Amino acid sequence: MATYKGIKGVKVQSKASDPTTSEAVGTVWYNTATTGLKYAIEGAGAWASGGALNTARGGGASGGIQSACWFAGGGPGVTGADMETYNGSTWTELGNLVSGARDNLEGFGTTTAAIACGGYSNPPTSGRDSTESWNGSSWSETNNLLTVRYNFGSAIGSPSTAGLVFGGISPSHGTETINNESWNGTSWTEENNMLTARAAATGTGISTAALAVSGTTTSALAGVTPIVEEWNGTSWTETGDVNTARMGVGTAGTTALALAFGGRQNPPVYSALTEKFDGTSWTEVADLATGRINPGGCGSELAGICYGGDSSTAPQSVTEEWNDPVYAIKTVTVS
Amino acid sequence: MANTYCTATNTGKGFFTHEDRNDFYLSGHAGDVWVVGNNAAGVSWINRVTGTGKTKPEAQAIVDGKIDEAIVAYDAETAEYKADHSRPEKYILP
Repeated sequence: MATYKGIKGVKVQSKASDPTTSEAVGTVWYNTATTGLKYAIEGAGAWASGGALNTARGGGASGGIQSACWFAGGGPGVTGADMETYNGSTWTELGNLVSGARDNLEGFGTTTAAIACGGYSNPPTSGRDSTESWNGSSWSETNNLLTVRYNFGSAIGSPSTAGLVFGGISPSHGTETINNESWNGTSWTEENNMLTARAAATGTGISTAALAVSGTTTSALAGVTPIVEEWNGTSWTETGDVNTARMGVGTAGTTALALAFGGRQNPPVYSALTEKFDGTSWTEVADLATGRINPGGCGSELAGICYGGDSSTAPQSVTEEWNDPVYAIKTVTVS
Repeated sequence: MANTYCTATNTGKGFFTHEDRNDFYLSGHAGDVWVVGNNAAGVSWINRVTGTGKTKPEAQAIVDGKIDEAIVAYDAETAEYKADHSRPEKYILP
């Protein structure tokens, strides 16, 4: 019969406290303080609860990483001009957008240097081209988008000095647009168009390597599409479809490793689905606890974050944090 | 029975952990209703968050009531709002 010493080369060790979980995976030890035999495991990726937003809302601009991210504007009902930042446990309210409340805007950058642009003011058809720059303490207006748009996507992992926005609804185009613009830190430049015009396609990545994930070709739920397009800094090409078509998902990661979570699927469900992209195809992984459309999202495929969004009854303030893998210490029980 | 039901207030960080999510099914719904996998870890979590146990019909009634409120609020909204937002719909808890 195989023994622990035979496999590991040492006897089960006694420890006064548990070791670092990630380093202890695959080992067994006896905790002398709690008098228990323990072991560590590496589990699948999962979402955990985080601190709640001060103002429940969806459709705001977002960016950053799991432990330092931001959310500005949003709705519903174009109620949001608030800027909040997250430190890994708590959201803090900071300066408002200076061009007023707007919903379904987008952005990119960090908690100390970010860009928010587009969106709409009441009524919804009153789209915006306003661009604002965040310096860590306040917003200021800068050069406008070339195309008025709302409900669009952005390369949310971009720094404030080099961004990308694409698609959405443009009142000047009358409907969904394939228009694509890049930001160089000062002004916007029109780039090659997307292949499929759509709204509520969420973006991730950076200005030279981005994804446009799912969305709707008809502004409505009936038009949801699973199409994902990849931008290489010059042009868009189709890559692997998501398994479940949705509009208004949250995203995190890069063109090589990404997450798409939440959104609204047809028949109508405020989705909790999470899918993981490996650069080629999408695989369904663990669900959010709370399904929602238009959440803020950012971070990486290993450490992502989802906050706010809209659900069937009310805007959400809930934050969830994604980690993959999940390390855990278990106690051996004998029954 | 695959799931059990409770109401509990989401207190933010630590309310449910990554380990919890790998140990049992959990989904949050309107009215602070939580659908919880019916195993030892799930029941332990309900106790940890001081959840109030509900039957499925009770939990469903809370969620339905919140959706009814949302429908009333939606119907009172402007045409502009309705053009960009869909009417809330009831659904069956898992």
